[in-house]
Amino acid sequence: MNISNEQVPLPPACEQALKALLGEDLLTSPETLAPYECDGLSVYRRLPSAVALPRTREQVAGALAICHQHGVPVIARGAGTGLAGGALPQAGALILSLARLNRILAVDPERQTATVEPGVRNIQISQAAAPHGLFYAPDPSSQIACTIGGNVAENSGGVHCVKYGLTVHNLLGLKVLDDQGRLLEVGPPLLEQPGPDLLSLFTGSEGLLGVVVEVTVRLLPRPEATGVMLLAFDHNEDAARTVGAILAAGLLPAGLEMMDRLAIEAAEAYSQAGYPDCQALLLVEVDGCAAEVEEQMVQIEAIARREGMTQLQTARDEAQRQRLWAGRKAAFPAVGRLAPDYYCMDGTIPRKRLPEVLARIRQLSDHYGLAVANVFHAGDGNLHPLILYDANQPGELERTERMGGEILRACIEAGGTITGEHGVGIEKLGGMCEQFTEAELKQMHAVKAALDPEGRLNPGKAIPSLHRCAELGAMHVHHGQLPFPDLERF
Amino acid sequence: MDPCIQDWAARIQAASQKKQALCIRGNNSLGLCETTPEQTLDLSGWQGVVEYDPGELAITVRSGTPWQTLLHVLEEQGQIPACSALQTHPTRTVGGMVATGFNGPARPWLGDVRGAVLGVAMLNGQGQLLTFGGRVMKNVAGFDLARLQTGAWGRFGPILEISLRTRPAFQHCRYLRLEAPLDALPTLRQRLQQAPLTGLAWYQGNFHLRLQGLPAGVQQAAEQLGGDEDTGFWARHESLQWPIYQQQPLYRIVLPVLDMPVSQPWLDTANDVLVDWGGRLLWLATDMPPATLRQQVQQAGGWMQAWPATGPAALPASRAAVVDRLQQAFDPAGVFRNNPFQEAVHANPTA
Repeated sequence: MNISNEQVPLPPACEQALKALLGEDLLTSPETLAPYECDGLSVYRRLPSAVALPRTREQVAGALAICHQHGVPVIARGAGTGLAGGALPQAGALILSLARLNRILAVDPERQTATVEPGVRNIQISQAAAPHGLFYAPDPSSQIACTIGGNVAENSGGVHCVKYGLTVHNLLGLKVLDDQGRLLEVGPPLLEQPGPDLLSLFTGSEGLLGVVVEVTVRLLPRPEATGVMLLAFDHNEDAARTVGAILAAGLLPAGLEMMDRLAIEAAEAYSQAGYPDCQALLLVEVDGCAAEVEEQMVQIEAIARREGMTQLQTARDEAQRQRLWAGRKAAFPAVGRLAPDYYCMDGTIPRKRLPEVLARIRQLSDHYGLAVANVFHAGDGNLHPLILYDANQPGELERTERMGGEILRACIEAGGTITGEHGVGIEKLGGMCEQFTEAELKQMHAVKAALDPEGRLNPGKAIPSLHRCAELGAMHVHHGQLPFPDLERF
Repeated sequence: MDPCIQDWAARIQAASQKKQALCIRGNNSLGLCETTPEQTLDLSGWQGVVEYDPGELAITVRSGTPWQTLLHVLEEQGQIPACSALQTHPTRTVGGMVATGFNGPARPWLGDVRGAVLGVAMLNGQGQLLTFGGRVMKNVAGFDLARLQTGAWGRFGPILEISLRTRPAFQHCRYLRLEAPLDALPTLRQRLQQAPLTGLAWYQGNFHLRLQGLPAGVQQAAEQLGGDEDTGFWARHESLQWPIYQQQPLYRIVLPVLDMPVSQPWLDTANDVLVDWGGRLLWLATDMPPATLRQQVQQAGGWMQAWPATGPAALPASRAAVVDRLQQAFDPAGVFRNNPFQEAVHANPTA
């Protein structure tokens, strides 16, 4: 799929200037470029023209200025763990890796903030904060590898969003370089900023509006106690209803995850976490002071019993907690053993529509003859259906992508969105045409043009061109099902 | 299409063609939109809950809905907004709350207004109806042009509908008062790290604490902290009813955190001071020259605004330039450039 091994070089004068700036830290030979030909969505690959590995903010600014001078597009990249092809190279563009800007600049326990460079890995922030009894809340499953710069670009989530929010809720300030390498401070890092919320605009903008060179995040006190509960059910619907009942009761768990039968079986076979034989399970993590944790667990147990829970396991110490989480955390690789390949989706829907969307996914699974395992962040309605397929079977990837497109359409129809936390990248451009109207897409392009007039920052990603939408014939077909359906459009 | 929206869209299109300015008006609780009907987009009647399903932890309302109405609707279902908004005036609308973006006393613990915004429907400066974000908690499709409206004071166009995150109301609440000098703040903050806190303010020689959460956690924290039961402080604080809020000149100052020991001249010479957000927000009544105060606040890494606010706080030049370019992208003719309305600029809307 879109594999190209042909290297299109940068304009010679541009390459020369970058070489003078970066020396050995500019990669141009095919063998050194190969690791950068894709990100976590590895079905799409293209050999980059060149990769810059700057070590300082000044070098990043210099590289941006040179590319501006020569009209060369720039694709910023963190650890390359993104799942939507956002860091896919483009012929004639520079890949700007920020992985070497990896210093933790400050951890301030009094202000409860950490200021870091974009190449710092997510987990390193919590590690640096731990001696002060603090942590950084967003924890995407790739947290040992993914960088905070990438988290900002994608507005990454994780399993604790229900209580602690997404990246955008935990950011205080950014330093961003524009398309010419000029510094813009989106801060200072405070609990309230004057003016329109630029912090949110840059967060999740997938490298289309600027290049982040410094991030200040908020740190939170590590909770005194944590408890994990595994609730087993005979029916998906019972589990889904329990999620709503827990939230309706005034409880706000730190994590609220759901797995269906295929995912449970795969996880159990892989990690022997001791998961029960059941159709669906919920993993509920609660935190706070010790008394609060006990109280939440008592209340949740009562709710779950009322909603038809068949078995309960609880963990109060670290070892037990690790065991209960082990199955969930291993779910993706575990499912990966069931088939040569799997395709991970990322739609989000209103929680109440969960049973019908799950039923629709089952229908699609039968229709396309492709098995689906469901692992998802039930607390915030974020689905990760994993479609199992074999890329070596002719036509199977295309069939998988078609089925994936139909799952996303079902999410839009249910009043949800095509991507909850993985981003659009190149993967979901078609879905964008369905989720947004022409006027909305034009407005996004106008915002892009306001901050990147030449359109050189990660071009062709995240926001589809109207031309592309017209070609797909998919312009906003689910009109009446969008958010705000009571408002007509014109 | 709703005739109201049709009418507003047509008027914006006409204003855009003639390069005329329009003032977006909710309940005009800040008194900033004293314009003729022809110059006004009046959203005050645009009220009502569009969708609310408590299990989704989200509510969608029309922007002219009073914030108090929103609170009542949520309260009936045992919920609250997943943010702390500053209730400057009892008649303020949800649209006004989001457009101004001022945060209330529980901001450090409950979250900010921008963070609670999930989606908006709005008209841009060309009268186009646009929807950004949605009603689900996680949504990274396209640029976040919904949260961008927070703090924009309507400069990108009127917000028509807003989806906000909600959360369960707290099951239990205790208010405590501890008599101590402000210098005790860092020690107190340290002691409170694990407490289920939603308020930590200091006013006239007393710390005022609000503990909210599950009964067991709140009681345990209250027992450990001691102090007296505190009646009345928080209700008057949330509605800006303390004497300091009536003083002039008054400034609202956002800081990284108040450095200790407190020895800044701007505190020593103040007429009155109320410290909120556990030391990250100051209400300061002082006769100090504003320029001197501003300089000292900036040196401390913060920003300030004279209160009551009559418009957005000034931005540093580089950010102001970005906002201007965004304004062009939403509103090329400058119909809403001067929101909130000021007579002087209205005479020349393209200035």
